[in-house]
Amino acid sequence: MKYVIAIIQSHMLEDVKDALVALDITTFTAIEVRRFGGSEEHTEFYRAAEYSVGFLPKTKIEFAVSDELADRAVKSLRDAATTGSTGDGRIYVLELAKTVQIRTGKADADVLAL
Amino acid sequence: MAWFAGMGAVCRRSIGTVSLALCAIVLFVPPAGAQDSAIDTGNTAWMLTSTALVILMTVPGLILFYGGLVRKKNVLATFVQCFATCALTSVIWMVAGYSLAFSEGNAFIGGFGALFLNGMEVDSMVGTIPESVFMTFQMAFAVIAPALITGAYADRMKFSAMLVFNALWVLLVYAPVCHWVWGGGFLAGDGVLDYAGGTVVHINAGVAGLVAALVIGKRLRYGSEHFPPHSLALSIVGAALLWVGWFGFNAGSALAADGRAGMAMAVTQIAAAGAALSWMVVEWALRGKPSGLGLISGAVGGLVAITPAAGFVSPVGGLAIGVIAGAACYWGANALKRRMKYDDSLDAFGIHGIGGIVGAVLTGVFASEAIGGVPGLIEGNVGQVWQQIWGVAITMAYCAVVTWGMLFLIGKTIGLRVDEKAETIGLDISLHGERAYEM
Repeated sequence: MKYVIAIIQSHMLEDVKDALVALDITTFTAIEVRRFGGSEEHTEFYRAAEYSVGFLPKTKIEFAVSDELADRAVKSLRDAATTGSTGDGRIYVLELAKTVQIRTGKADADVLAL
Repeated sequence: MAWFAGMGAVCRRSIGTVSLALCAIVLFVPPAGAQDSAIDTGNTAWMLTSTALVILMTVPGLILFYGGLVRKKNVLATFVQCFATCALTSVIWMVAGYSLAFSEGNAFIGGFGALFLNGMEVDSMVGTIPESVFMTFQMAFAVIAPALITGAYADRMKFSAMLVFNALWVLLVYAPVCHWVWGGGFLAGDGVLDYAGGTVVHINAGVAGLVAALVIGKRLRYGSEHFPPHSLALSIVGAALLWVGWFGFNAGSALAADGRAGMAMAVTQIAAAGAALSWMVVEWALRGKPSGLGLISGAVGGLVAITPAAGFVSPVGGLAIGVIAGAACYWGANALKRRMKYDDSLDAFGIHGIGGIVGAVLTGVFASEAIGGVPGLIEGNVGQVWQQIWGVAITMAYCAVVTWGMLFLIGKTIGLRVDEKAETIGLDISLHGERAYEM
């Protein structure tokens, strides 16, 4: 099993969701985050206060996936999340030891809906 | 509320109105109503409305305006400061403030004849309206002045110190200055014009805010950490409520529903609009973007500046005052604040102080004899500008000295400022034991 974490442009979330659902990956988590890094930054000003802000709003999605499906999921996610501009984000793939469904207590019950 | 300076004109007008009203009563109304004929019901209805509008400026207008500008950890503390100030000042005003401002006294301060509103009966009158309405209208003004000051020391003042400071400030600073201008005191006698409280409310609160910011010191990590407003959406709604409420503030200050009130309303809208646009244009030119915070800050600056002028200037004068005030307040909340290096957190001085000073002086420039009975510089009365500067200077000096003294004493006794840990955690949790948002 793999655990996939992706930081994407927030406005690409719907496209990414559709791409994953098309692969029958129907359970995942999305969270709004602020990401620092790269050359992206912008200036905010509030009356006398003016800041160069390095943190930019992004969306992080996370899901578990079977080994067989992992490469297709990553490719599909990348295709859906690409805009071609800087700041499109990054995908991280981790080895996953175990999942447990809270209601049933079953381990790795349904790898497609992890 | 130029009612003292303009009393002659008001009396002449109301004699005409009353005799017309009497004719109407004789012709159309049963005699039972005749005993109340001295009360002008039209004026009274408008003043009841105006009073509610001025309260709306503080709760919820100023609460939202200020609350949106602070960090998430200090939202409730900011709300509570304004809300508690509203409650406390109302009681202080009822007990002694109204008496010190408006009862028979000397040129400097009123007397004790109206403590606990002694003598205010159901049929007591001020002009053509019940005294109860006049007293509550004035109470609403007394409420917003100390509430404005809370913006200067936001995020770091002890709640107990704030309550003591506001109570003392209303009695020892607000009430005397109110008496000087509207209660028969020396500034009105000198011919200083302040239609709706540019000097009494805004310069007074702005200067007190500046002194408070200097005495209490900067917020922890001011300058090194970012303090972005936690919700400009709240601030914009709050500023919009201030704008609406201001029609009660200015058009109510005629104490009548008449032509002068209508002109005050017109110039209030025009000046607010001109100032919002002028701040926007200046900011756009200097920083490349027209910000929402800039637009509302400009509008509030224009509303402040037109306050002393409202019943004295023409619409063109109102537009000029608004446009100048928008740019001046931009300077006050930006260049001036940066150069002087004080932490007036929410720009009580930069907007209310600077806007008030600009408005007070320009009232002397643009006053029109045809509107308020007093000519200004443009109509050849150079002296009026000097009168206005005198009014500004004496108010600033008195307010600064007494405010500083009060803060010094409070600092030496109960202390002004929360400790470092409480400030870091945030005042919502450390002072009030609650959070604004569960998220």
